[in-house]
Amino acid sequence: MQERRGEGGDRLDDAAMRALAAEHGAVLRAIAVRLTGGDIGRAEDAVQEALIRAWQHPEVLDTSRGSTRGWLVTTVRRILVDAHRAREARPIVVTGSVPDVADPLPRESEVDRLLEQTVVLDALAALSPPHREAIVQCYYVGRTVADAADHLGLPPGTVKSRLFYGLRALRAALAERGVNQ
Amino acid sequence: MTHPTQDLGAYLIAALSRDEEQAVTEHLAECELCGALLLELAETLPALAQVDAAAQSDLARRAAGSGSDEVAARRPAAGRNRGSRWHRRQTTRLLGVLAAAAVVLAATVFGARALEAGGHGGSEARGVTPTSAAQAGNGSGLPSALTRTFAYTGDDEVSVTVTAASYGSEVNVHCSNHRVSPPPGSPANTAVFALWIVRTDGAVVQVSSWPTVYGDKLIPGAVNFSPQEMAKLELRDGNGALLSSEPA
Repeated sequence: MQERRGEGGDRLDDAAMRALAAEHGAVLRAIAVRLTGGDIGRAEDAVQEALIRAWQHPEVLDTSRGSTRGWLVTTVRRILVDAHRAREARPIVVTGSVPDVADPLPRESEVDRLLEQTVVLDALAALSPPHREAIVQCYYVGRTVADAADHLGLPPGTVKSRLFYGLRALRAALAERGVNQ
Repeated sequence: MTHPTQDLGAYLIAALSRDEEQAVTEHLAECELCGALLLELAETLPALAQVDAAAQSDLARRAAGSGSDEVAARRPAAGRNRGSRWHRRQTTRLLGVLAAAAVVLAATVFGARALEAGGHGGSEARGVTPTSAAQAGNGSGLPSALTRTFAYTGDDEVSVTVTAASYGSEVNVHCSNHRVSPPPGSPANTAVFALWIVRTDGAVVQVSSWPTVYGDKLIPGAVNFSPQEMAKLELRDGNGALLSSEPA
């Protein structure tokens, strides 16, 4: 992914901030609206807040496009959960068919982090190799579906399908290991 | 409406083209089903973010280096999991007391109906009974394509379709409920159901879980073993209690 550092080095400049919003804003809004049960105002606030946090921590952007989006979506959820806890009088109506938002895992110490990482790697190892490979290529390496299809010699539709079913399977594998909720 | 279901994973991790992404965003504005599926996929993101740079490049190298050999060699250990850890059914993460209360409520409400309907015997039935047996297995495992229906004697019907795939099996759960909203006085969406598979080697794997459905919902899932390696499908509640199984 391209450098998005401002001249100061530590913070994104305005143009980079606009590029970040242009790249992820619409998707974040779609997800946030869903998480708030249709409250567009709160969704928009959460998206802006997440973009500002990214602006304050540009190191999270020094990763693949996929994991940058992952960080932003996770942050939007975190912000909505915190807002919900802060004012329990008006609870967020989480869309009916979803149990609850999962918080990002706590990072209390390096040891905890490594333990969590071990569980996540174990869950990834339990996936079928094609599922795992699609996730690794698109999320960690940061390839688009088209790039990954080219790289793996597969039709794009197959890559999409493997990402979808791979993430479903990962969710189940994590649940089995007691991660989430 | 055509659902871009299989685009949702790529959408979430920014792997679609601009145009595809925009089409999915527009669809999400009006589709509850895809919105809910997307949020479920998003639950994996905090975990994926736990993997540090060193482990990421290790994963990438392993995937790239030996597309089949090394990864395939790992598979038995990872996928065939016969360890006792897998037999421990980790259900504590499920919604605990609230879910338990809701399941009791559901069993009470629907149990009465089961008796009315002259269903199948008594309170032990817990409101669920398998109704349609599909093709019999050929001694080991399930056929490579089958649909089994667990008829919930209340309002819900759960059917499971297992299809062999190159990576193992697709396991799709279709839930339908003639109600589109909770019955008056009952809490919405608090009962939790889960599909488990008992493998022919004795290991037990949870494939998916979902809250009470109103209307229709498809809950897609996948596992990395074939239908022939499945001995039994089990429908369980949020606390892991067996509601019904196929074959019984």
